[in-house]
Amino acid sequence: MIGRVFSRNFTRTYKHSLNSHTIQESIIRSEYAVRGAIAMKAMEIERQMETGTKFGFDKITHLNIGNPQDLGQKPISFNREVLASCLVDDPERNRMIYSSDAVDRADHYLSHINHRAAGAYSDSTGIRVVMREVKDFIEKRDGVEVNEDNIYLTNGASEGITYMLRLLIKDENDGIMIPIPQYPIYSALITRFNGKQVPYYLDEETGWRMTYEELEKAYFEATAKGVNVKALTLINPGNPTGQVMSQEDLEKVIKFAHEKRIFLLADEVYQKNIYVDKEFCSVRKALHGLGAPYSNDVELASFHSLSKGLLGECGLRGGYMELHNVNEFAHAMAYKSKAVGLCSNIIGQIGVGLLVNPPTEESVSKEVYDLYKKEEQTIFDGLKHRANLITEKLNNIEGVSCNQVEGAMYAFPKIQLPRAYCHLANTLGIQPDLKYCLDILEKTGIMIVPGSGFGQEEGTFHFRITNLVNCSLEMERALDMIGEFTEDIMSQYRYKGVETVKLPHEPILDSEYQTI
Amino acid sequence: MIGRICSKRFCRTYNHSLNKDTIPLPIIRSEYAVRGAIAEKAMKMQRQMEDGVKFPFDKITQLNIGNPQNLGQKPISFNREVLASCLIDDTERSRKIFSSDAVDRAEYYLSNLTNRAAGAYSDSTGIRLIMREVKSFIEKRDGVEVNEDQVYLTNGASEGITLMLKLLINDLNDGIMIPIPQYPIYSALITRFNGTQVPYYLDESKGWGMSFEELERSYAEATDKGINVRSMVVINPGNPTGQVLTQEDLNRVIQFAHDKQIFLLADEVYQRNIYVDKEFCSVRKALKELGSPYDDDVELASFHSLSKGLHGECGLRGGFMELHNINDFANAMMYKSKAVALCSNIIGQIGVGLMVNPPTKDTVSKEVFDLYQTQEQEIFNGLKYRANLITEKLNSIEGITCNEVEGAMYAFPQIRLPQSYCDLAHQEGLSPDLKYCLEILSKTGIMIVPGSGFGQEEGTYHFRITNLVNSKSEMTKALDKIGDFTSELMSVHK
Repeated sequence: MIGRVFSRNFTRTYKHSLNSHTIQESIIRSEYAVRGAIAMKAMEIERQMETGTKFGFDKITHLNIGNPQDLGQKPISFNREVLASCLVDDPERNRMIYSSDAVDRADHYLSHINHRAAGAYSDSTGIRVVMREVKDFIEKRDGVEVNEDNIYLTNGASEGITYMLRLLIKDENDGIMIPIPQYPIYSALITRFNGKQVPYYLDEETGWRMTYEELEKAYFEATAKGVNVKALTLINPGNPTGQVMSQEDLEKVIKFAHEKRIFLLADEVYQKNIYVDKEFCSVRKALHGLGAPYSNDVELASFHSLSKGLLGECGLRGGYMELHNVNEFAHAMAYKSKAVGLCSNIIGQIGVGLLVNPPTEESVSKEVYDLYKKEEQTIFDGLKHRANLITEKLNNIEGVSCNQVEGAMYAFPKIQLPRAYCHLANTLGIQPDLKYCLDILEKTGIMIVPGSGFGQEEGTFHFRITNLVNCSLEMERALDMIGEFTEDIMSQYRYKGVETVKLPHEPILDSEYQTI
Repeated sequence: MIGRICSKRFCRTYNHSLNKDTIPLPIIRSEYAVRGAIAEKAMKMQRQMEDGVKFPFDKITQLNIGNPQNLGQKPISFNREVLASCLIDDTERSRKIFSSDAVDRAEYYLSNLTNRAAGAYSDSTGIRLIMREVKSFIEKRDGVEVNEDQVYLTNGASEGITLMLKLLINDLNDGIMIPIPQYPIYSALITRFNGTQVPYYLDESKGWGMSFEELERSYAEATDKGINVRSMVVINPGNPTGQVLTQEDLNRVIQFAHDKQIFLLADEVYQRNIYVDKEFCSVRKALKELGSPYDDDVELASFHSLSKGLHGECGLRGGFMELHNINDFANAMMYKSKAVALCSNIIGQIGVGLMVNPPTKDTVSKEVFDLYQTQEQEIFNGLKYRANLITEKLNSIEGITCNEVEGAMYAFPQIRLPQSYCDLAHQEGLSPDLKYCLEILSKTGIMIVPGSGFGQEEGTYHFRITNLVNSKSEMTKALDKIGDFTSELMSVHK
């Protein structure tokens, strides 16, 4: 933007030095759909509502993002009592209103912190006592040996993922294999770090399965173009697809990685969100199970988070990363990067301790244990019920088909949008699934995310919707509204010839924001 | 590292794919001394102590980092009660042990969150209510108008600084002017983002003052080499140097930035840590008072943090960044970068609200207000006292001179190490000031950071030490130990 300024002496033009010409291409090209065009439009609508504009709904419903407590999920009482007791270090007073067990657990953490100060920076990798809890958790879950120096406590899993991708991408020929569809932090960061996305397609027909053939195909296609494939990301359970991988699936990926000598990134944040009769198996465990040479060789970074599971503590920003078979020098570089941000927030770190080391029958009173179990079970039952509800209801909508939601917090249904509707979208300069989501938002106040944000087979359209509205009735209502609106579109546009489509009066989007 | 593995069919060598050759060079070159060699050595010693190894001291004293509560500073009670009440949303229970005022303030924040959920992601820029508190704070402090869409709540100031530098640096020819000495997040990140550091030297003989001539000299030197100077960092009060810039200083910086059309980065996290008779003036305020054309033109990012000041809540990771005169497109790119990490932690955000909108005489009971004031005043008095103590004690050590600590939390004394000591260091492949700091650590358990980590005039040596040991006697003791060790060094190497 140019501002003309007259001073006493002379006329000069002052241009912003930071503008679309001086910002890195890679930042401009980087997209993160979960908080992209839909989020921006919703913010606009919210402001208009605040100033009195009327809409066909009384509030915006955020089904675009895995943010359970925003939709009514309650936090686990025990955990919050521990955290509150860490913030106000007065056990005597705290015992008046919190359970003894919670106060004791807080004391366990505080006694391991210098001056019992939750407000001090910890070591860069994290509070050692919490890192030990993470170590024990992984060892117990997977039957492996963990070196606690390989653990990093992070502000959510996002922070760890960011470090690893930055380390892995040296130049623009470096490629990272990502599942399509994927959680768009991967595509956003790979682009931002100027690397190449190497997509491998999950098969919608077979419940979003990954095949060895597809991995090979993706790999060879990339290497043929001169891309140096450095790593492979897998998300298990999947996001947005929810599929749960079997140990056999994982073994195939591990062998593939070993053969190609590539780094594995295992995003396992939804490991406690499984609604079908399948067990979670970590890559770490599958690796160990395969034995030598794989277990000695394959480089692996595993990510977990406080934001999902049954705790849903997104706002606390807690998570960890465990590195396995990673070269010492690489470790040192990861450590150094971590040190510049000093440390992740202490409350989030303690939250991770509570995630991996929950109260047990032996460690707390029956009352506290029962309440803990009850709260977790209520949350799990709700998630599972709504996972099934959402699968069922979406499949009932004309033009929409949805694979069974096996895990995570989302459905990723396919929608067959009428040709005329797609044509209208194209004339407006936006993807048809984005137009669909924007229309849903305007008509119902419901935020969902277009499939193009996650990646999908060419010529298909999808959207991602969460199963997180805490009240089943409200979840149903939201799905009904989506159903009604979708059927309207289908009937309105189904038989329309492309030529008869009328353009609306104003463009839907400022073109500047299309890339966001 | 290469491991030889023989399987039934064939022998093969498996190389780590992620190694020195495959990691980006800028990451390898990037250094952050505050948690560098000294911290690594200290961690090793800590482990050895845990295993029972004896040292001539019983604990490590961390005077390497601005981490007040790690050295005994207590948090402000009111703030912690508010935060605890936000985590446990049960007003009746909370009122049993917390002040009504704290519970009310928690209520004020929670009622503005969807489903009163402190455990939900907020909007990427932050909780709107708190952004408004930040807006009011800046407007009141500086007499300006703030656009709340240009306020970002961050995990400490570090996050905002990282986002801005990433946006500003396109390639190796892009230069960022940084004060020497500086807080090494700047050098670390500029290197990591593959830009060029453009140093401008603060004048030790003039209380670490900044001069216009030096800015011009630094700029000209860089542009001669083909560097495109994009931005300039100002740290006020300074870190590690502690000097407080006057409004006239700031005016000169602003006029310089305007002339060269460069983006200003104002690191103002120590604005409440001033121990001399000087007022803090923000760059924002100086800009406003300079008026047109400067106030309409100069692009500015100002950073503040919950980690310093009188709250010292480092571990909560709270901070904010305010952007001024920023191009819409650039702001959209900033928003996008922020969105990928979703949002900064909610407790830290609420902490920022409490920092910029503290309780006043009219908003809380006398009892709560008095306690709040008392706690803040105690902390301030302690910091001020120890700032003076540290200046005095360091100056009384042979070979050491130290400018008065005007602000922040550090002293950055110069030490004239004997030539023979320096030669020894060079033989060992170490910078002499690093050798000095490593030895201080081995002999006394005290962690300080070598001046080379912050930058210093060629041929001079310094170290940074904090004034944060909460007990006066312990601070004195630590300084005495450093004094003893240094005197011995001086006599041995004479």
